[in-house]
Amino acid sequence: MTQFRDVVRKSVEDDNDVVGCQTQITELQELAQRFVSNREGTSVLLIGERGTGKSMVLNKVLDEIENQVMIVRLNGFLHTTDRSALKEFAHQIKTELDDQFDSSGMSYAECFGKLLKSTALGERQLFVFVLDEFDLFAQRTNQILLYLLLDATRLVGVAPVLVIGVTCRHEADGLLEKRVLSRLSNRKILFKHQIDSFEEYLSLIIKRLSVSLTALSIMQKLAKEWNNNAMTVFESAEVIDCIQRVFDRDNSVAGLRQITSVIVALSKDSAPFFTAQTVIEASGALYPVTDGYEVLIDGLTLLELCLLVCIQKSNREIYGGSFNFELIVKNFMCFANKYCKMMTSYNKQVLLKALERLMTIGLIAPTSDGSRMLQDSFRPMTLQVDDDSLTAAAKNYRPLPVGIRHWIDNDKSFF
Amino acid sequence: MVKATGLLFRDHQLELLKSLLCTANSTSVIHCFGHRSSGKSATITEALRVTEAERESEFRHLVVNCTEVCSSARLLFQDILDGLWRGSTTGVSDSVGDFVQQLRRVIGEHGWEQVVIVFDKAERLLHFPSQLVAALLRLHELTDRRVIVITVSVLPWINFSTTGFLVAPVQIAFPSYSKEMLIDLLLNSKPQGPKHLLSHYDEYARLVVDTVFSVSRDVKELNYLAHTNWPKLVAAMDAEGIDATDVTTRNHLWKTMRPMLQSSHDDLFFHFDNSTDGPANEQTLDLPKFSKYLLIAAYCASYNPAISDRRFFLKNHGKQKRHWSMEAASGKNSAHQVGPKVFPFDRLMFIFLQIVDNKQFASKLNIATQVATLTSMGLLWQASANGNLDAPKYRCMATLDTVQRVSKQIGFDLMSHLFDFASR
Repeated sequence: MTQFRDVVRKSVEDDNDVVGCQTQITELQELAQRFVSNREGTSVLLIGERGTGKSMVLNKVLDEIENQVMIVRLNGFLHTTDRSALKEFAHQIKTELDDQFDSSGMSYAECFGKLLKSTALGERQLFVFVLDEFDLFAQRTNQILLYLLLDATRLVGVAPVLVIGVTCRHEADGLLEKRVLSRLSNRKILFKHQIDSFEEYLSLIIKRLSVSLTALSIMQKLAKEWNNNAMTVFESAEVIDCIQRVFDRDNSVAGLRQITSVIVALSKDSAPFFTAQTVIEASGALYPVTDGYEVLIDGLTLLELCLLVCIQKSNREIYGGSFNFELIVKNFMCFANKYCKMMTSYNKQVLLKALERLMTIGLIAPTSDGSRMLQDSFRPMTLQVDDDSLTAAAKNYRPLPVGIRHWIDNDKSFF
Repeated sequence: MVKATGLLFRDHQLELLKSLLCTANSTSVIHCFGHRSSGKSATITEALRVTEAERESEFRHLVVNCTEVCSSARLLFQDILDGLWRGSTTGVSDSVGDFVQQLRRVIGEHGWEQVVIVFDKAERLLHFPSQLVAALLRLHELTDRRVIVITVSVLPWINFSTTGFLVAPVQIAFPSYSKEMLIDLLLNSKPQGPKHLLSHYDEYARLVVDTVFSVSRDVKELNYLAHTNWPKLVAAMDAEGIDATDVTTRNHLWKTMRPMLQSSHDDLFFHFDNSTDGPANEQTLDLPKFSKYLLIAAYCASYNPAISDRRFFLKNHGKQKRHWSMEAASGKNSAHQVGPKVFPFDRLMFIFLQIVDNKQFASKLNIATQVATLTSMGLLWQASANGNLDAPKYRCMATLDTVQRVSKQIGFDLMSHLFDFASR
């Protein structure tokens, strides 16, 4: 039985079917094929937001031509200097970048040229450079690597070079120097959030979650059950509601993969494999309805909660919205005297410590300006939670003494 | 060490973690958050243990305590690589690129299929540049290996989301334990004691939780409190020969225990050790007599409006007119609420000479050195530039408690010289 879930998982995970990017795939495929057959260098930019399937499309296309070309992958995020990028280049084509590079007077350009030639001996060698986070390469002080790469796409006599820049910035080419820009071909492949309608999103989820029957000849019966179950679960209104909420927040392909994968991880080995509850749980874990602070507020001690409400109430009266511990302690004493006598017994140190704990869990934070030269208790602070969610969370707190509830409800004045 | 509290009331979180870790899936970041001692680490450890037992050699996990390594990126990388490799790695640099490469190599060499890196106290990571945090959260993508990052923090994910992370992480909330849960947790770790008393431990646990629930929901604190007070209770019962089976005597006993628990909780709050004599705030400030006067003068200068000096420190100041600006000063801008004000050295001298009882002492030079001493002790803070020798400015950093204690020592009535407290 355990194996069955593994099979399902595998079929869902390996489902690299890139949804909706068919035009981009064909465009890139054509380009790659032309590059391989004509042996003519060129460049292209893949532009689209995160999670729109750029890398997926790229990998799919590169897989097809893998054995005809030499692929060098550089990441602007990792190779933060042109020098380290060159080292990585050398590493990937399995040439040792000799010490000459560091010691002798060999310039960067010469070194680059040498690397490009050194492996071009095989004559048929073609280079594909994948520049992930292309915009980060362009943001450096000088764009010598980009210049050399793009220049190489135009050169005749060295190995043909295809440069593929992947970026999520639409104006990435605007960052380039003139001499670099003029060597960049004007070809861009745009990716957008592919899933436009909710119906499409829903059907894609179901499609991803269903197991193809041909792949599993042994477990036909289980697979059928699994598929039927998936169909019925996604018919119920609460699941559709829940998926709608997910769709509204994130309609990217990556998000879709993520949620289906979590649903499979949470599913059981035997029928019913997963229920509406599983789907709701998975979407709740990935896209929680609230920002998480209400869990923290709910877990406060009564003293901390009262201090927090006290801060909220005094905040409304202070111009500029910053307060300090002394003020809160004073206001808290006033409140305790009127609404909750039992709280008057606390020592000031206890109150200050409770306020400090509120600070460590990020509910209040010191303002950044000029507060260093004061004692802690006078440091200006600001409240980090918004008014409404704080009031709502405070009202849900259990057990809440009646006096304190009256105080929270009474929002006209402080006391 | 055996976990004293065991793992109660965390089934849901444990199941979620186990199913995410045991089955391969595309989840690469899991964020666990909740108050301290709400069972986060215990749950994760348990989930990792189960996973390791199931997956054996192809699975590797590592817990990084971010407090230890947050001082430099190199230290963090070194810690991760060493911990995975269980040896020491050489040539670790502070560049993300090198780190990812080394990590990839280490994983490749050992053939691990899945690596889990747990960042405990992950809020410390936020001190690093956001680029680095983003890289850590994207290790899965950058290394192209199955690396799962679990961040454990008191802060919800919203604090980490500024790092430009692409897909939503799985967020697991750990709500605090309720009163009933806490009692069960306390019962789970009973201390030693005579059998006939331990059978009433549940009543005792309830008493402990009831007494301090409104200020502490921390299991560890409550457990400590229960354990330290239990022997006292046993001793008291033995000495007086109380019959524990009788309900009314027991109730009486609980009633007498309550103040004791309350006070020992205060000790816990301040972390005083009861065995040593006297808590820390009894400590005296050992200063020369004139320094004490200086400190008091500085306090008055910082916390009184300058306009009121005439009233407090001149002998024959005549009839005091109530001035509107003084009325205003007594309101929201009172120094005891917004913090101490800066004052010039001359004003300090004036107040000092007025309050000191031995007028013959008037060497200004000597006073300057004493001011310097007070500054170096952190009781005063020099607000003007170092080069300003003519009219330096200071601010008093001592608290009211400290200054009050000092003034008591030399018999000075501080309260009647403070604008906020003196009777009008």
